[in-house]
Amino acid sequence: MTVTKNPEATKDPDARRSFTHGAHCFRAYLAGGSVRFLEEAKTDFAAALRRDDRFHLARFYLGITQTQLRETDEAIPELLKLREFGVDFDGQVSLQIAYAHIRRYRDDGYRTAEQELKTTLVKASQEKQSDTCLQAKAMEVFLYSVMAGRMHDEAQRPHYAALAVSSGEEQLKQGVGGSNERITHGVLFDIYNGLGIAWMRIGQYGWEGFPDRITSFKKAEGYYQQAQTVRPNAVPLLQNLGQLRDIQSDLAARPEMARKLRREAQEFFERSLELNDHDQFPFYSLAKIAVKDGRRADALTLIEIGRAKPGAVKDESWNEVLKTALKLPEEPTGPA
Amino acid sequence: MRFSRFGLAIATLAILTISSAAQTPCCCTPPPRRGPTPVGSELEVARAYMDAKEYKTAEEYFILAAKQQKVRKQALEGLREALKLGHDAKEKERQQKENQTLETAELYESNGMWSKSEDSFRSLIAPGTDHVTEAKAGLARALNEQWRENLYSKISECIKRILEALALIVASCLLFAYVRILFKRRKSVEILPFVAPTEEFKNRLSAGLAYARAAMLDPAASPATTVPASLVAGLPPFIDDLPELEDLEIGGAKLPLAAISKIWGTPRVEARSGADGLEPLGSGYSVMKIRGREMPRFHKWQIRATPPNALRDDVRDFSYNVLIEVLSAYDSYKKP
Repeated sequence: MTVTKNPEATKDPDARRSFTHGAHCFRAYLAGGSVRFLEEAKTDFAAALRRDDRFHLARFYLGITQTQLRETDEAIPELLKLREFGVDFDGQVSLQIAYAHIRRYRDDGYRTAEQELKTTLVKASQEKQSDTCLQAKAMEVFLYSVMAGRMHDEAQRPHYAALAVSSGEEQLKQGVGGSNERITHGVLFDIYNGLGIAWMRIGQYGWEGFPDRITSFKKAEGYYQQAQTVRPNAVPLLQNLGQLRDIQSDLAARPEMARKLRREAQEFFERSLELNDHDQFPFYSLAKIAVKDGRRADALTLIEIGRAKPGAVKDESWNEVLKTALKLPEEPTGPA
Repeated sequence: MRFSRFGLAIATLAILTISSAAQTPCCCTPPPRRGPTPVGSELEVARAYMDAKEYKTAEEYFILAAKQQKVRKQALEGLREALKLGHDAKEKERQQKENQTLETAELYESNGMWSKSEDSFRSLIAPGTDHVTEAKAGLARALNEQWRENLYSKISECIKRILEALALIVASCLLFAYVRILFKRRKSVEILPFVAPTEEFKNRLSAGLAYARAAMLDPAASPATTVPASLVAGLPPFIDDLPELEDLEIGGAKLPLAAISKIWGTPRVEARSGADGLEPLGSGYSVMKIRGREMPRFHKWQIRATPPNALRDDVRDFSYNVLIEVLSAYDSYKKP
């Protein structure tokens, strides 16, 4: 992607200053800084656009930061406006639009994202943009794996799980080779991660037409491990591994095995929090594990902290785990 | 006849004078005869010269004596003897001279004085000399040794020239590298070591900065990132990425490079930062000096001491804040 190679896309010095500051804030967020940097970046990009409405790079980054802040209803129109100006930054705008639709976590969003990715793929192939092609295909695997786990139309989930598996394994068979190491690693990680999620869902739901749960979980674990070789200890991967253990613990035959698996899940989520604690999801997952373990106080603390974090966990889900936690007996305190 | 008695006396006296002069021995050609010489006197003179071994002069007197009939035979015998002895003496002298020359040549040779031994041997190579074979052999040896010496000196001269050239190349490379480093340093950012009330806190801040810097240089590889790596920005090199400049010695003259670098190699942006570590709410600060600008920029951020997670997050964010402001200051230098 070459978008950041030419940030001098405005003649307004104030706009450029705001943009530069915002870009560094965004970079700090990506590197592990708090979500405050993301909010500051969004403010800076918006300020740059106010000074220069034709500052396309600022608009592009504004869309990306809004997507990260889960403000997809604002992000998508900003990114579509770039299309009106005829700006696509080598297909990156289309990819971000697709990603924003995925982050809406709605069935119509998924379908729009799917269409977007197909169009991007066709255009990138015609214009011989091999890196964009690879990114679009990897995002397709990710999309289908998300759909396999989150589609409201549950009957469609197995279909998309199969699509994720076939698309991902086909790409691995063809080989992934980007123009540089960063692209190659990024694409490989997304494919492995997507395949891991897809097999995890297959194992979780035990759909017909797929291998048995044990085999499916093993495949999921294998792909997650391969993703770890590309980006060790990546937060999304740790969360997925935690989720895998949690699902396996729910299906475990013996209670002690379930406890062991929950402990492993807890470790994965806690490791992910060490690296990035700006998301609700790991707190939510840890709260559920604490509830299953009967640790009332821990569960309530995690719920309190997690709800204050940004995230996509629904209120109903929080309330449900809170209700269950409150029903637990209070843990005995130590001797006076 | 009327001769006076006086005239007759004068004549007699003259004759006697001439005859006495004729009897005096001398190494040069005998004086021309002025009057009748007493018979046998030249012979006696010749014999006297023979006794003195002056054979050449004796030959001449023998030749003169041979003109007198009475002593012709003796004169001729004497002449024969004089010639023989003269020849023998010359021969002996020649042989002695040759032997001495040969000895000298061998002496020079034994002391390795090849040029002189060459001259000495060469002088012995002439028709009629006795030691031609030895002289030729000696000359050959002398020439061979001189050739060898010449070769060694040529080789060492060549090596010396090569080493001089290499030294010049190395010095030029060092000078070029030094100038390059100076230019790089002028384009760079310097973040001075953090200041803190305790060593432990200072080390914590420094570790946080190192981590933040590494993560921001390549956020795609950061484990905390949750989006595909797409930001590539031309970050300036940091000052501690450059090697230390030492004083360089070239050709015996020390160049004060470290001193020059301090005057001319000032970085574009210099940041002095620190934190006070106060409880429960402390602060971190950073003062940025931009080259060519009088007024430094001052920034301040809060650092909470409790709870532990808050301290960890704020210390980490402090590092990111410093980096963001430093990079923004650097960009504003390029484009004020």
